[in-house]
Amino acid sequence: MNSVSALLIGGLKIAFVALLWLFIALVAVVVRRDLFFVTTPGETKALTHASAAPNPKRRGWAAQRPQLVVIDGAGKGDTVPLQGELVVGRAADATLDVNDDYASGHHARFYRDDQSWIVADLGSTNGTIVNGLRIARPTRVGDGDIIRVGRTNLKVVEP
Amino acid sequence: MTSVAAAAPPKVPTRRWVELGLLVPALAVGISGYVLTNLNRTGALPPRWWLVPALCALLVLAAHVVVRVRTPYADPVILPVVVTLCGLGLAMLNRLDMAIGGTDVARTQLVWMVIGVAAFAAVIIWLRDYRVLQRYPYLLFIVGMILLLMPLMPVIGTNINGSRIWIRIAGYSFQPAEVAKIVLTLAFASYLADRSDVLASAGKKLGALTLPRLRDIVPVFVMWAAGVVVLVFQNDLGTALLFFGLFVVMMYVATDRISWVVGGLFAFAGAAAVIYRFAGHVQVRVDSWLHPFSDMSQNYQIIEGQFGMAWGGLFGRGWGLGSPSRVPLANTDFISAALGEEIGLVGLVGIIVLYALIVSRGLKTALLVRDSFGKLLTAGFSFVFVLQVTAIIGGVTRLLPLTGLTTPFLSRGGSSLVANWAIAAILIVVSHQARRPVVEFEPFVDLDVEQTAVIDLSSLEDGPVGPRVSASEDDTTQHLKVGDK
Repeated sequence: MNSVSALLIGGLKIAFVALLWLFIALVAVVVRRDLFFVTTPGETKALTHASAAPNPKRRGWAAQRPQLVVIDGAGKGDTVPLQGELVVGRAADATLDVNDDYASGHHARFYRDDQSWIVADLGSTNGTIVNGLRIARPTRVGDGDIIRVGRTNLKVVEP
Repeated sequence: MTSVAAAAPPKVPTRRWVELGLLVPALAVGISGYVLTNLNRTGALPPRWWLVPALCALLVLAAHVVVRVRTPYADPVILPVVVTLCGLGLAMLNRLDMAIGGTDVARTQLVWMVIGVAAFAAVIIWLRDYRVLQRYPYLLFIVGMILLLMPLMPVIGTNINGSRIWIRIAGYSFQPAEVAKIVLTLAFASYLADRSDVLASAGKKLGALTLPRLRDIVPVFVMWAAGVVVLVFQNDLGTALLFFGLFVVMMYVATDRISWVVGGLFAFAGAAAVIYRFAGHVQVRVDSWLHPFSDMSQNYQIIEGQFGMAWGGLFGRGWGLGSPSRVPLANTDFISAALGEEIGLVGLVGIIVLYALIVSRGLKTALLVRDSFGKLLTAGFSFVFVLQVTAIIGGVTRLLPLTGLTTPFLSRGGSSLVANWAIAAILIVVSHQARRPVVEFEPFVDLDVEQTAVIDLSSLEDGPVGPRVSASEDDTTQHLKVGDK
């Protein structure tokens, strides 16, 4: 009787530690799935781009409308739909937060009139450069134009 | 228009069902510890034994629902791991109550647990956009300092065990330094988030080191020094060490310069040498770390803890079958020794792995989130756990000299428990912001309505001229007309 209960206690003791490690193993599985199978927002975007390029018939939803693409810089691959008005800058409330030490908080503003998109510098320290030239006035931009904000290059893509 | 129908952003899974699934074994760990203690000590379960586990399950379910509603994209691992640690802590406190007799530490802790979950829910409900906190670095700093100074105030401050770090209100004692830990981390993060670029790049070069400009570094240095000085005067060296390490790591994260870590280690070595010379109890701590068995009565606590863990061995004595209550303060500083005795080395290593999981998810969030305030915040809080767990479990297992820090989520102490639940909530909020899909349309619509109509382009002859161009640039650069294809 005594040895049976000792065995039971020993078994339960091991079972408890096993339960603790089972939990850790389950968490490890979740963490692993998170790494390899669940696409985080950044990865999702990268996938959209990769699939959009080779097959024009199956272009992603984003390619159907005008958008601003970060082609060089910290947020490379980020896209923002061009609609309404948007502000590019380092500030947290900028529409496109470029995370670039050389950009100003509110660096440049994109808006449009009835003809095209227009980019305006918002008094930034380092200026806004369109196709290699620093702009002094709000400037019209269209498909393929490259806008440099700090050290980040943005490209206008219009379908 | 079919393309518009497909325009929904790519679906990112929320992982809330995974979290709920993990919460089941998480709860089971603590509850089976509680059940096994009763079975092993008395051979039967107390009447209405299910009451406390049911209450805990409800509490956890409430926390899950709050996360599910307010932060659906949050990391699914953080809450279950926190619940497991809390369950282990409650079960061990209850077990120590049974051994000591006449105390109800576990019940008090359960009350604090309810308050902690309430704080967790409050943070998630009202602080979903954590970036609002970034605006008030100095206000946060002042609040943090007031919290740190509260124990020195005459009426509410109390002196317990030689440290003046508690306040007592209506019978409950509270350690404001635990809340100050959160507030000052927020203050550091909001200050550094704005100035990380100038700290990293502007300033004099001194060999391999770049010294930051004085006006950038002085405010943050004052913040840090004020905190540490107050803590040293309150004889709370553990928390002072925590603040120091936190400061160094956040400077490193903000500037990406290893020189902060190197300099911090040298400063720590210097300060430690000075404190060792002048503070008698630090010498005692170091001595009981290096030669515990040379003075049985002075180092009784450490020696008993060592014996307990040795007796526990690989798999422990089993819940309720060791004698962890022989160690003084087994339910606060030495709770990891008590757990090591009863669930063994395998169990104690499991607990350390649980902490490592919280830290790794915190750092993953820091990598994922895009704004530097969020990065600094999550990295800072993760490191708070690293430093606290290393210092206290390292101290108990004689890897390091013992410093009186709380074991997060495990040890007795309401202020620490509530503060750590709040930190877990902040990690969850930031991870939600980091993991949710980026594409959002609402803000653009608002801006559209407010502002695009302001400029009347058709009235201008040579292209649009906006109201916000600085006039000084007009003569140096030319006007461009591009993209009219």
